[in-house]
Amino acid sequence: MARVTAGDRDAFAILVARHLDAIHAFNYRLTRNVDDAAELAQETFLRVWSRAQSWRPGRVRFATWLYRIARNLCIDAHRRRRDTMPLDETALVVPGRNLEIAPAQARLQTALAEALAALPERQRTALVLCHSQGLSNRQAAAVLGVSVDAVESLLARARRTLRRELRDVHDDLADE
Amino acid sequence: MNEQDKEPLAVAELAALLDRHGARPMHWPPGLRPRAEALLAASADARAALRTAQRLDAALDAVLAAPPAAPALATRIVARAPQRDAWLDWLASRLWRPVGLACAPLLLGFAVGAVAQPESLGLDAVLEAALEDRALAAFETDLADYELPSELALGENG
Repeated sequence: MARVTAGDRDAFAILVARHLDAIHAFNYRLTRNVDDAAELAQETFLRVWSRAQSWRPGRVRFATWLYRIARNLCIDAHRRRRDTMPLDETALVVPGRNLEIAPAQARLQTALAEALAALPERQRTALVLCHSQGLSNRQAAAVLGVSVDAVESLLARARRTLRRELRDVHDDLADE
Repeated sequence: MNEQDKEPLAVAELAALLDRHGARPMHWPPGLRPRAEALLAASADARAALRTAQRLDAALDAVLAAPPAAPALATRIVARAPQRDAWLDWLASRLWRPVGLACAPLLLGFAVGAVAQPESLGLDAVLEAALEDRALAAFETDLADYELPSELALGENG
């Protein structure tokens, strides 16, 4: 990162290669749109390049800083396109996957995607960070700028809401 | 480790653990894992709660699966990074704080001066005074033009 700060393009290329998949996946999981995910990933890394000096190594981990930038850009993009962002049927299709699954499973996934989209942004982001991106609750707290307790509360509320929303679609997800 | 740390969790505690950390034991806090596992070994209700959490996790895995980034994306990002002058960047990043701090008293002085200037010394007052002075001087000049010849001037004794 020090080399990126000094304007080294080769170092920037290495940094992009190392983190692009994670940031692209994070953006996709929040936006549910491949084009938006790519565009936001590009914007995230260009911001890292142009503002590398503002990252302070002792203050925050690089990955945390990167996720914060990506999350803020996703929020901005969502605000700009509020009308087009809500999930639609096409956004729920994962290529090569939904075509082959049973109708009941497809119904569950559609309902879950809708329930996820309806969650408050912080709950959804906390869930994506911890469940899908593999961050610990502590790391997710740093990205969201809240305490670990607050993140765990967000996660618990998110999971309870999802289970409640899916109960009608999938009996197995009802609390036994 | 006290006695309570060795006791199995209650089912409600396990449910809270699953809500906060998900169904994968590797994500559970190390201190709670043995107690959760002890409960799971002993309680059918606990195992049912775990199965529910596992189904939700599996559904989330399916729905949140993300396609990989396009192979050309990384190249495109690097190509679009604008040329940077590292020295100027460094200078800007290091100097903006001290320069800002150095300028702060100056700006404060301007602000205080603008706000706290006495009314009598305001620009309007100064201009008004200057105009009055000039008008008076002109009036005196005009009077000089009309000064009576000495022979017509009234003497002290009339």
